[in-house]
Amino acid sequence: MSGPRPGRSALRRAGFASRIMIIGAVLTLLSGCAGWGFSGSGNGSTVTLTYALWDPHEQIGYQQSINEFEKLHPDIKVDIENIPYGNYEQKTIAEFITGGAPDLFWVNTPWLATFIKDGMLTNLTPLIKASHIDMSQYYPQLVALHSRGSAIYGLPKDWDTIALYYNKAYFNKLHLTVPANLSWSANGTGSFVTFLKEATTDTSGHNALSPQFNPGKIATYAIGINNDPQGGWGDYVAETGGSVLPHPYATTASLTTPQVNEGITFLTKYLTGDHVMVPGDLSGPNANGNNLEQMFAQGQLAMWEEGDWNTVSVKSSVTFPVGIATLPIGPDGRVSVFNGLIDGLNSHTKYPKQAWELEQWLGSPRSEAILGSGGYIWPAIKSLDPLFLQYWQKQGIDMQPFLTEAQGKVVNFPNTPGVGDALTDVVNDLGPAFLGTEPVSQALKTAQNDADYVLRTS
Amino acid sequence: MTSVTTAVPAATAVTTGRASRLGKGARITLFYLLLLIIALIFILPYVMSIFGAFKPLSAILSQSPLRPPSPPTLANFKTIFTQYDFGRYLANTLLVTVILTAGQVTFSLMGAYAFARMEFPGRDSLFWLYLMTLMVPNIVTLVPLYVLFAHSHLLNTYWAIFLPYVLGVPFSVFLMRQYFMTIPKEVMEAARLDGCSEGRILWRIVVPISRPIIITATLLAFVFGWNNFMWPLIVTNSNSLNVLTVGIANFNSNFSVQWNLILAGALVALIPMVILFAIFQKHIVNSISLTGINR
Repeated sequence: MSGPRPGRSALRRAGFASRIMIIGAVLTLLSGCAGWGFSGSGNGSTVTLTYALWDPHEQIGYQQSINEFEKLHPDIKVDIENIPYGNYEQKTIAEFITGGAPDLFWVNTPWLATFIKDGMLTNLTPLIKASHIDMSQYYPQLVALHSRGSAIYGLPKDWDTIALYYNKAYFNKLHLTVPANLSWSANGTGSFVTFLKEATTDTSGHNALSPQFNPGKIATYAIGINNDPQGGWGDYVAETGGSVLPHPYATTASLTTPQVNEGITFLTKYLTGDHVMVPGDLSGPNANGNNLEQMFAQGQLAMWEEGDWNTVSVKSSVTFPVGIATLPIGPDGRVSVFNGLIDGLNSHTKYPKQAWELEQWLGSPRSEAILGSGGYIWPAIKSLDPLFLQYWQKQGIDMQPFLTEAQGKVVNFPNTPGVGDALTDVVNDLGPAFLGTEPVSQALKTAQNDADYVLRTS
Repeated sequence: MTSVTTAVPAATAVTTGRASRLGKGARITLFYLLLLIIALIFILPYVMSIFGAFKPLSAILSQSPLRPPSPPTLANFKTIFTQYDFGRYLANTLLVTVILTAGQVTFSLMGAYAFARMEFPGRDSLFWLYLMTLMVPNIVTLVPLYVLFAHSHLLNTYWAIFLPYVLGVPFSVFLMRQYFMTIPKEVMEAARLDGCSEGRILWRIVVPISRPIIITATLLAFVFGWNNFMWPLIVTNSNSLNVLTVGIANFNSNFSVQWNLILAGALVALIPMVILFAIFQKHIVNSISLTGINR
């Protein structure tokens, strides 16, 4: 009886061991195969370029554009590298250090001057001249933003301004329309403030103008503004004539000026004090807009101040119709922070000629038309803006206020080496002012010191 | 009198017995209630994620995360598979995880056998020296490894994703070595006397009787490979080489966070792990006790 068992068991054992070996052998063979990601890129006469970006939604549009590019250039293949935004800057720098950086890559303005200073970006001016590219087709502010002296570091591709997304259903319920030209003064008065009071309601339905209004039981705040130099306080500071930097490539900040103080005080003292703006403890003390976006989607916020890049997200995150209003007019007029992206051309690319071809294509009217008409970006080529407008009109959202601002008075996003890190410190230092635990002047003094240190050492 | 005197303690005993039974019942109820609360704390994040994966973004942001999707939508899954190539990410993850696991288990087996049952000078010192590398956090070796791969021109290939782990890891070697030490020496000696080579001893004798630890090591390697994020993120540039974890992280843009797609992607990544758990449930529980004892 016991005889056959060891035999069967031995067979099974042998089977188990040999199965492991066979799997190992097959996988080794498989892994030895060339291609399918087992060999490095680039072979034969076709050049493979790597194009890095960080937004999965825009990637879809860029892929469409690149498909066209590849048809026009059969000898160039473009591989898109989508890097999560939180790791983008570090990863790009690491890739430069080891020599594996993408040939062309999105550059956000907070890193722009540092990348230029560190020699990561190619000066495109000679190439632009040789290719006879008409730079006047682009918004001049964007060309200026991406230039240092006579050197231009990228063809502008898109732009953004800041405006107010609002909940149409809520305003309809209150029988209110959002007026176009609201204004505010540094002393906390003006039609903007009155309107915000009218639009803030407590759980009993009283608005902030009513004597029965209970600020302890607010159901819907009129406005949400982040502690953010671009989509938040940056615009109010610009509307008082203040700025984070006295000029591009400055080595010290200009945060302790009375204008900057006025702009931030308007938000932290007057709007927060009047209970019409979401207080810092609800919006979160830093520039993370998730809390406000969620409050807006939940109907706890009537108007959310943010940049146009949020439109895709806003559209898919709300269940009510969305309107957009221009920023209010401040003491120095209506001023939005203006920004845009370029594709940086790797200064150490193995394929400078092909990378320049791709750069030109992505900055060309044909590519910008693909992306504009797909609703991905506002094209940096002024004449193509209607394409983007039309796309969103079909989706039921009128984006005109963003365009009105772009065509009006704007200030460029602050640009100097180290400004990304400096602004992170500034936002952290302004947190207590937004939470109401520190005077604005003290918070700005700390922010100035911290920003100056970063800028001096960058 | 007697009957009365005896009756009283008996009644008391009955009452005490009931009270103690009641007390025991209450204690057990409380105990299970506490366990239920703890279980809920652990399960709720998964429930929220699963609900979220079947909701549009607007519902995720405006509703309670505990509200079941009504009606559930498969749109998120359709998006990640049609617009974002999650099928490829899934295949990539499976490929590198299987290679990593097979390699790690095979080579750890060999290393562990040598450290456990082969005699050579400096064996134990070498083992402890090797084991010391277990104390070095992965993050410390990240940069040197990256530079190594960059100079070997292996960045942005599948090789880069699994090579650092495929030749065995100290924990796996340690685990198996400790297990092999429990196999009587006499078994190997008898095999040697019968003319068995070391390789044959390993594959024909040691491996078959070490199934529990091999399965444990396999599961540990598989779960590690499947969930690995930082290393694949750093060493790959091309989206065609993305693994699931990196693909999910890519939805986190500064323009918008697509929670609906993140949660759908996370569920896709979770399902194979749940299946694995369902199949190897007994072994996983066993592995916890095995690793516990051997540590």
